[in-house]
Amino acid sequence: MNQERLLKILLAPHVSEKANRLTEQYNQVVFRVARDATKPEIKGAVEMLFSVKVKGVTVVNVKGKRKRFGAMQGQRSDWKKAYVSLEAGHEIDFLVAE
Amino acid sequence: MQVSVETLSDLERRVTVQVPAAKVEKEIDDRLQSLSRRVKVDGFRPGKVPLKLVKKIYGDQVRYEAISELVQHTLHEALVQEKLNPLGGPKVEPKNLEEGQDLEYSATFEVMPEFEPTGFESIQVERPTAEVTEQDIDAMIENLRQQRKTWAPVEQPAGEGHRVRIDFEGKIDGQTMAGGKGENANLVLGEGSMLKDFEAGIAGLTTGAETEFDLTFPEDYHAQEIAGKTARFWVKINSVEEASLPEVDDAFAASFDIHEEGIAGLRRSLRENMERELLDGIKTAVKRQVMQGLLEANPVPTPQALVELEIESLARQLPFPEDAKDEKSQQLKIQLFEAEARRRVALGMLISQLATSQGITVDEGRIRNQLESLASTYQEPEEVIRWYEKTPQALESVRASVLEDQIVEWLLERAQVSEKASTFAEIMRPAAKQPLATAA
Repeated sequence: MNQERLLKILLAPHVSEKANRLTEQYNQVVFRVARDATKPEIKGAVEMLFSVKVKGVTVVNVKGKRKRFGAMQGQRSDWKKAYVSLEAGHEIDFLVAE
Repeated sequence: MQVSVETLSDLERRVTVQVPAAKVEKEIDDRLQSLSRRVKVDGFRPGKVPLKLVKKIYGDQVRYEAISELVQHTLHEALVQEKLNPLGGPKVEPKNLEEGQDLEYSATFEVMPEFEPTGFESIQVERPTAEVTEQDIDAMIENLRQQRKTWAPVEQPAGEGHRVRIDFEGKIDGQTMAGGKGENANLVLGEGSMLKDFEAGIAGLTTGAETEFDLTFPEDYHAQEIAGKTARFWVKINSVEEASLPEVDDAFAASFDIHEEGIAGLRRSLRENMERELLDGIKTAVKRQVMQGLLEANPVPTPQALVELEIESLARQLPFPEDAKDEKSQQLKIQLFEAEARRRVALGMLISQLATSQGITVDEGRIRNQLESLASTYQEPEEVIRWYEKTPQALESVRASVLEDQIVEWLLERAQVSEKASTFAEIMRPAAKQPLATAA
């Protein structure tokens, strides 16, 4: 897999109460990823960037919210969220990594 | 909490305080806990933000706050424990702020020196005695006449003491100089308000005369552009006037609002005034000597913190420009006021110490008297007294001056007082002219 492509996969960590709970309970981390990223690509990107071993990846396509401004209809972009399970003993600490 | 005190000098103390790490950490954690219930972070409902995240975001800030508060608290405790009473703000220097280790800091400050005022018996006071004599009143009347002199034109060459009205124009290299032109200007010869050479140029002229002369400004003339230069002056004399002093008669008395008894009334009211002034003058002279003596008998160390405060307040009274904060004016300020400030601080300490050690308390009745005499010079005395009673700072200053008077009296009972014959003029002169600043 081409490194240049891998660097474009992960967009941001997804910080929420749920993500926090999953990290604590199941050693999973949540990312917002590129819309056309595949599971193998996400796995590769996480392993490369954070030097950890990934057990598995599940993804979900999130529909962008419909927003109105007066009579104007608007649509936020759809995006893709990835739940990455890490092997036991591996962890990613965003707080330090920043 | 561990506290150690070092004595740096008579007045300076350094307190070193150690606060156990556990206490520091607990304080920080408590703060984070309470903070985590309030902060809002995207992705979390309020109060649901994990502590770890709160710590990451606010940790440094909270730590700083916690430590500065701890320092204040523990310093206060330490001071109470060691029974120290700092003057001015302590200077706190952190020694160890590392996380996980004991917090350690030192605070340097000055304390009130402990001393017992002594040597009252050795204070030498010369009490000047004088009476208002007829000559003194004559002199005063002469003075008043001088203030009321009138000018009348005379046909005489202008000379010393004459007032001339002149049109004049001064030119340097053919150019009219700034401020070098005037019409119908008054000039009293011999008073030195103009350069001597200028006066010499018009002396001896009569009304209507015109003259031109060269005038060289001295090298040290205050206006630098023209210092040392030579100007050509043209002067026209419009009139020469001679002073005449008013006759000492009933009309003269009436001009001072004395309508009964004419001159005799004027003399009597002058005498009353002068006698009052004389009493004040004697009191001031005695007080100054007492204070000076007290100061000389008791060389006390003066805490720098108080001296600096005093310098500031003196500077405000002068008034020294408030916004002059640069290095140079600061130094000037210190130079100007330091000696006086030091003196005042020392005296203030001596007086308060004396008051406590000798059990001298302020007499409320005297405060009332003082207030009334202060107020009697205003138009509505009642109003003034009410204002004083409502304004604690103002009342406090009255109280201080009464206490000062009482101390002076107390000291006078013990000091070596000798009488010295003097005259009205002599007593009034130093009191008016010599500010307290000359001593110290």
